[in-house]
Amino acid sequence: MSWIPSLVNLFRRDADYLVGLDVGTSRIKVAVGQERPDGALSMIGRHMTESEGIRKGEVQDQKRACDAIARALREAEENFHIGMELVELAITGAHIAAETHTGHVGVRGEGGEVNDADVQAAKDSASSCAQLGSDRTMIHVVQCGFDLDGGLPLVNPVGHLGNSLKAEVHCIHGHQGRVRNLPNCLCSKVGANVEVNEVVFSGLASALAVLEPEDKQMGAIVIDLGGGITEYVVYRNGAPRLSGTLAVGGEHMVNDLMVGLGIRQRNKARKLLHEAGGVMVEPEDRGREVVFSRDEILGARQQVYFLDDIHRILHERMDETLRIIRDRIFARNASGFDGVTVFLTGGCARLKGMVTLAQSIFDLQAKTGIPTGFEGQEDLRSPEMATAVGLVKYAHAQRLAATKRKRGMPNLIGRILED
Amino acid sequence: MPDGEGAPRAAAGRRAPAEKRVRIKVIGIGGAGVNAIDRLVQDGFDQVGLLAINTDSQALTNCMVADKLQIGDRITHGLGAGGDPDVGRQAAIEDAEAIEEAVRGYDLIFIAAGLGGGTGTGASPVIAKAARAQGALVLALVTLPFVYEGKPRERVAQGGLAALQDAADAVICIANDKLYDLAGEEASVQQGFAPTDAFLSGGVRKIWRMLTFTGLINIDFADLRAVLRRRGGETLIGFGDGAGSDKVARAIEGAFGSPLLSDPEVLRRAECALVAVTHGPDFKMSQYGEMMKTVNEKLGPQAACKLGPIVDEDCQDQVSLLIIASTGKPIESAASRSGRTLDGAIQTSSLNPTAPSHAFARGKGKFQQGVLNLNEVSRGAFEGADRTVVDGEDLDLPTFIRRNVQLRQR
Repeated sequence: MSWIPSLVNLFRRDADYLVGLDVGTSRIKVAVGQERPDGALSMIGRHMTESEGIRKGEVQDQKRACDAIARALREAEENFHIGMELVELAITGAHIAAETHTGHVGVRGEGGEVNDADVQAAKDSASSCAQLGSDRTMIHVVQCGFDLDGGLPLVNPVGHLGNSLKAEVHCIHGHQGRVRNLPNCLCSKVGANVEVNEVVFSGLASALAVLEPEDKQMGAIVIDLGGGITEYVVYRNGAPRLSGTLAVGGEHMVNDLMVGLGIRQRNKARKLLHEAGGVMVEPEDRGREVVFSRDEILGARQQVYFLDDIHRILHERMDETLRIIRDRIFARNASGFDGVTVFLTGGCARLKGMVTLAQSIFDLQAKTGIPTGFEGQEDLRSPEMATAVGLVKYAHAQRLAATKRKRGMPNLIGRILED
Repeated sequence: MPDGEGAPRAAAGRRAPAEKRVRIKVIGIGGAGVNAIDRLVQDGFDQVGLLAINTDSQALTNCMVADKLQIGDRITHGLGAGGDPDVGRQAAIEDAEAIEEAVRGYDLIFIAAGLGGGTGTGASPVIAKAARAQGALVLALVTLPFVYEGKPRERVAQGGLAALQDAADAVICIANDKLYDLAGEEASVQQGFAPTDAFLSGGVRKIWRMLTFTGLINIDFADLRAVLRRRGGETLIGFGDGAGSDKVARAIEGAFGSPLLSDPEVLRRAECALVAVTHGPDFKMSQYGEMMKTVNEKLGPQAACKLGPIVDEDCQDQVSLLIIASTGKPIESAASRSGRTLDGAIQTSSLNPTAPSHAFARGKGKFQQGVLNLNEVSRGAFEGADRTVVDGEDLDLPTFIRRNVQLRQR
């Protein structure tokens, strides 16, 4: 019955679909959306499969990763009866780093009125401060804001009068070779026959998915706790100012459980993490046991684990992970974080006690980050879908910007990541 | 010299009572073997019985060891085995009685020999067999010929190695090329051989010290036997010393840089290991932790480890690390008989019940387990990926272990 999707495709314009592909260490997540005639984003659905060949968010075994990606895309096409041509791809890895830079230019627009060229020159001047090594490549230059002659911050200075224009940009960059590894898995030889439209840093995509404009304005820390790696992005005054990765994730917790409890099978430790996982050691855990039969089919000998041991092992891991991230974020500027909210996304955000733990470590309000800003498809509103949904929203925003530009509304392309 | 096992120093350390002392003899067989024990004499190491055995009477005369045994006089007329292992074997068989007499009454017998020649290759298996028959644990430390010595010599050596592996409890085998690599390209021929002797004699001395000094957690003869008496596999040994501010790094570098432990793949397959750390009273827990962390990482996840920290008053600002590991499988019957198997996960039975663990408890609540469990510390899922290191900490290792959090179920 493989002709059905292709037949259906005759009546659908594939380019209308917006596809987000998040190739994680544990799972591959595909989110599919569509732009409605009124311009709003409507989500069609999600597809999730086991991932292979990925370690700490990066390709470790290209063959297995390619196969797993091709399978995930094929299944998604069949599920939704669509054909995919273009995908947005999330990228992560320990090699990704970011800084915020500022640049100044003299206004050259007629009569001291800032024009597009001035804005671009200011941004270029700021991003050139990044001074990447020869083995680095820029992934994003996100414009954070402008000011004219030291005045109030401006989102869009075009048309304002002044002498000196200052631009602030957040530059996210990665290792030249390692940035290409994942996109390479999607080229034609995979058989998936899709093209990567853009690669987007996973942390940024997650933030796009869960943050409302007011969250960005008030300040937000988005921490995406994935299977192999954790990404974080800090928004202040409407724009990302700091981001990074820490190559610790759910697989570390699985490994910790294996070591701590003497579990030999990885799958069993994963199951234990899903079914009994929690990162706070509660008084009522004491004496409680988790019973696992060694061989579920044969019903052979049972193995008993203490719930407080499980929670203690996981608590130590997440406590450490969040503390490292907190220290990195607060190292720059420990004060002025009042009113900032911590959003937890990624599969590990669903672990019991995560919000409580994050709240106590950051001493800030914390919540689970749920993708928003679209209609339909409730199953996409879960923290582990944040990156994939964020990619779809990114593609949508980009398309909107392109449309507006066509209609003669200038200078919005750079603002995609702002609101 | 960081070595703490020289004769004058040893007397000052905490020695086991005389009646508990393990009776040890070191036998050098053939030219290379005799050279190695000569080195022991030169280093002033006389706490154990030394015996030089050779077919070549002239070589024996030149040797400094007091106790000598010339074998096969009727076959060789004191002229050596001429590179023929059959002659070496016959010579040992001919003097079986004298050999039997020489190996009687010892708990542990080291055999040092160079394989590829006549006497070392041919006589060593016979002597090992005789020693085992007399009830001793037999550990052979042998070298393989240089590649440039040619294929025939290599074949002879391999034949001798196989025979020795059958006859001895354990064989620690090093290729001369590897030792020569260590000495460096520019080393003279004599310097090239010096590491061979240093390796053989160093190994003997370190093991002697481990068995003789009472540690905070005692590694005893039964533990050594559990590591050496195994089915198949390779026996590995490495040791390193360090002194001064970077002593930990130097000792680790020495131990894991030594030719048998330098191959990370082999090390990863280790089934069990003894890790003895001899240090002065000023040695810090953090330094001990640092050392153990590295040992953790290098050994495979399945390796059962027994750690023995030994305090030697004379080792002020010095530390020495000895690792003996085996990739062999346990011998069931022997293990259960000795009741001290090191197999499997951490077992309190592998702890010497008399060994106090309170020494650890004093260290600010750190390392309260009697034995640190190294056997399951693994990179597991992260194999092949870059380590996640933040501020010098390897985050791939479980946090609860690095933070020393006690679990109920361990």
